Amino acid sequence: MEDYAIEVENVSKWFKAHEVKRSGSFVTRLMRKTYLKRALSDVSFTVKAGEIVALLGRNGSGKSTLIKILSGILHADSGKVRALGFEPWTQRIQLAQQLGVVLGAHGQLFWNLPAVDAFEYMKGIYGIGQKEYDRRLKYFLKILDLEHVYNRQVRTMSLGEQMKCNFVASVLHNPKIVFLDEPTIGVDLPSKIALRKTVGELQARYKTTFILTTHIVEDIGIAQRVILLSRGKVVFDDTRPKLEAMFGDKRHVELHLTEPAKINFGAYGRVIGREGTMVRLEVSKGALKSKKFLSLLNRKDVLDYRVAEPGLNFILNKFYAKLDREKR
Amino acid sequence: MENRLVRDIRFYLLSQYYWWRGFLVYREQAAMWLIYSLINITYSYITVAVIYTVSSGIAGWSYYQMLFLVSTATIVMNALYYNVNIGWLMDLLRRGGMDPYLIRPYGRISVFLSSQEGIGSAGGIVGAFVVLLYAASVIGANPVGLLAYLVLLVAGAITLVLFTLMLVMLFYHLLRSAQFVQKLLNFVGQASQYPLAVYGFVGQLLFTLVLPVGFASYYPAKAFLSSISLAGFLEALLISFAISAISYLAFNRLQVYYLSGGG
Amino acid sequence: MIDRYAAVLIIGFKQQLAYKKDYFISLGFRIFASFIMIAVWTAVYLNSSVSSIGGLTLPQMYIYFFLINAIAIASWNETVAENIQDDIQNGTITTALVKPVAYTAQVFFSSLGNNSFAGLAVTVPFLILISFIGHLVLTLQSVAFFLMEIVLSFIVSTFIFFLIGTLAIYLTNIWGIIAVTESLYMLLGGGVVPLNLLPPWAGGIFAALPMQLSLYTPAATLLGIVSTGEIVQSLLVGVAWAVPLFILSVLVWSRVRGKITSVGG
Repeated sequence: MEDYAIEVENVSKWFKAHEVKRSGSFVTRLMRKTYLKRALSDVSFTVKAGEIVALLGRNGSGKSTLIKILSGILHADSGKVRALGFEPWTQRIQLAQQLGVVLGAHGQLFWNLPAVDAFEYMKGIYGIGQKEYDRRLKYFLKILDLEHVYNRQVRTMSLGEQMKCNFVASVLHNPKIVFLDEPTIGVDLPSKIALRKTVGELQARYKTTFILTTHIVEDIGIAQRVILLSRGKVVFDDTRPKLEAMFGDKRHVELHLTEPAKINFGAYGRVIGREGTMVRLEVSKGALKSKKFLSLLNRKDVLDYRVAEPGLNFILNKFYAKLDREKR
Repeated sequence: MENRLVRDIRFYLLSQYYWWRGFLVYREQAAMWLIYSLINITYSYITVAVIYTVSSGIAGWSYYQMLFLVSTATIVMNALYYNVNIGWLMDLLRRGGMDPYLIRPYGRISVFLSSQEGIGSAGGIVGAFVVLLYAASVIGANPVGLLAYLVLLVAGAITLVLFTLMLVMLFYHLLRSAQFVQKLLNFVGQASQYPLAVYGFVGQLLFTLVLPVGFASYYPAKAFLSSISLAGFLEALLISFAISAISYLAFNRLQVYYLSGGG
Repeated sequence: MIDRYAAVLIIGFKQQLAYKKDYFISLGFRIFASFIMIAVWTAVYLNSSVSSIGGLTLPQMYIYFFLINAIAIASWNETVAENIQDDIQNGTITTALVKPVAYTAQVFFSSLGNNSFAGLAVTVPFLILISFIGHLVLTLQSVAFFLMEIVLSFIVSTFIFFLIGTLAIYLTNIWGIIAVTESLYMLLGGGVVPLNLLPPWAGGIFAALPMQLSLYTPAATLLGIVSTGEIVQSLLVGVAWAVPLFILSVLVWSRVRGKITSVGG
């Protein structure tokens, strides 16, 4: 009981949506149709203290809604939620003191003022001691390479710098749980790497629990566990290697040919890409060593070949495709 | 509990400090708001000046007493708009912009008040205050009246702020539009510049019990002009406290409907 | 080319339909607001024990304030400024800029659609209703003048609110300024005090401003309390404002446009 940072049990959330009619008489065109849309349905999972969990899903899968329920911004319509033992929406204030939330789209910063003003504001809000504040700020400025930036007006910063400052403002008070909602959207590569590194260090040092939602597959690399949401339901909840293993019996073979081929590749595997003299095949692990396939590799017009495990991006796409098929 | 109130007030003041810094850094904006304040003030006084020029005015109210009432109403409405910028607040609610404020460890009232600013209205408060002093110097003041005035003014203003926050939340839920609340308060503000007696019995009920603006401008002004009894004073204070409490509870209940840009 | 502007105009009309609730809210509060002025003026007439102030009897004063609020709905449109603010701050202006119709024209014609809807749906029925009560002077000439005043007022006010909307590029939010401009329109146009009650020096200043065309002049035209000479004079004042405001709008817009594109939307 104690070592769970987050417990979610059968949580559901509905939203009202409207539709304006485009047909019918003048009067019916003025009417709106209201219907209920289910954003989350019967979601259950737990997160241990100090875990880094990636929350994945396509647009509209309910991951932002879930984060907002966990941080007390939204009320759940049914089910039980505990974050650090608090019910987020009724015990919002107690929870907020130990919570850091980085919302991708909305900054914690003052647009017209330097970022340091926002940091000092956070110091006041969360009651951080001067010594602790100085120490932590110094640490973050260094690790995120913000030493020359934090004194500038926020509106003059690049998006990456804003994002990093936003991150600092959200974790200055050393929260026990941090939610990162699309933390690296629109951020340049060095900033992304610095952000990921910081997350890793905070987890190792302070046993901070991180839950991140993202579209960007590289971000998932720092997570030990992946929860996949689709249409408001948890469809996968396990370690990252397990997710990779789900389609791990497949290998990608890249063939480089002397000339645009006349060979019938379909007989050897599924063609997943073709660019000039290059052809990419998806083949099951077992078939790779079959005589038939080896004969293909030995052909004279095959100059070179490369075998690789499919990337996470590919796996996710497959997973989604599978879900869509099942839905039908 | 007391601790929490102190904390929330500190948070409110801290946020105001940073809003003011941001405001003053943006010089074009500050200049614009100065013009805004000047126009805003002129508007309130012209009607009264014209009425008292072309006629003998409203029964029982001298020109300077009317100036005092109009100034009080202007101060209260600007104090309200200083704290609750209705359009901005509705925008935050509609687009999920309230999220980063809601994750701060403070009560919802102070979170809402700190999430936006109406600093431009400060000019209106200062300007109306100058006219108020002028009118008061002509009328003459007594300490009891002044004290009663200040108590009712502050209580009334707080009531109006809580009531408006509740309205914004209610109309966010019902219509998703700031327009109703904005227009309603403009209407209420306009009405509060004249003696309640003008509106007849129904109007008096409307502008006290339904739209609690009377407690913030008319009753304080009456108290200053020494035409309110002790019973009347306590009654006004009590009802305004009751409306505050109801507004506060309703505001908290309505939080369930915040959708954070979803839906 | 005409088709394109017509399309923008129709969208303005349709948006009004979609936001019908905003519409009835505006209308409702305008009627309420006239009750405040009616209550105040009733108190004033009772206290003064005179039958007419500034040539208006108490019933005429009632009609005046009802007329003012019916006219205000068609004669200006503050949402022009609100929409520009939205466009600039949400970045939707870039989508508007790539359309094959000049942004200024989009604004103007959608506002025209907006106000024609308002005029037909609200002002006309309202005027018909009031005409049953009486006190109106409805001749061919007065109605023609009335229409000219409303149209001219619409043109001038659209330029004014357009210019205010462009302030959004410099300010984080212009809600307050829009509200104050609306108040100014109410005040200078005669929505609070009939303009003929003003002392001559103030009346002279107000007469030189275009706002009276939006409220006082049309209402006074229908009440028959202004001479033809005064009507023509205020129409000329309106035209004299429309031309420089148009030029100013074009100049300001070219600067603002440059600023939008250089910031990168």
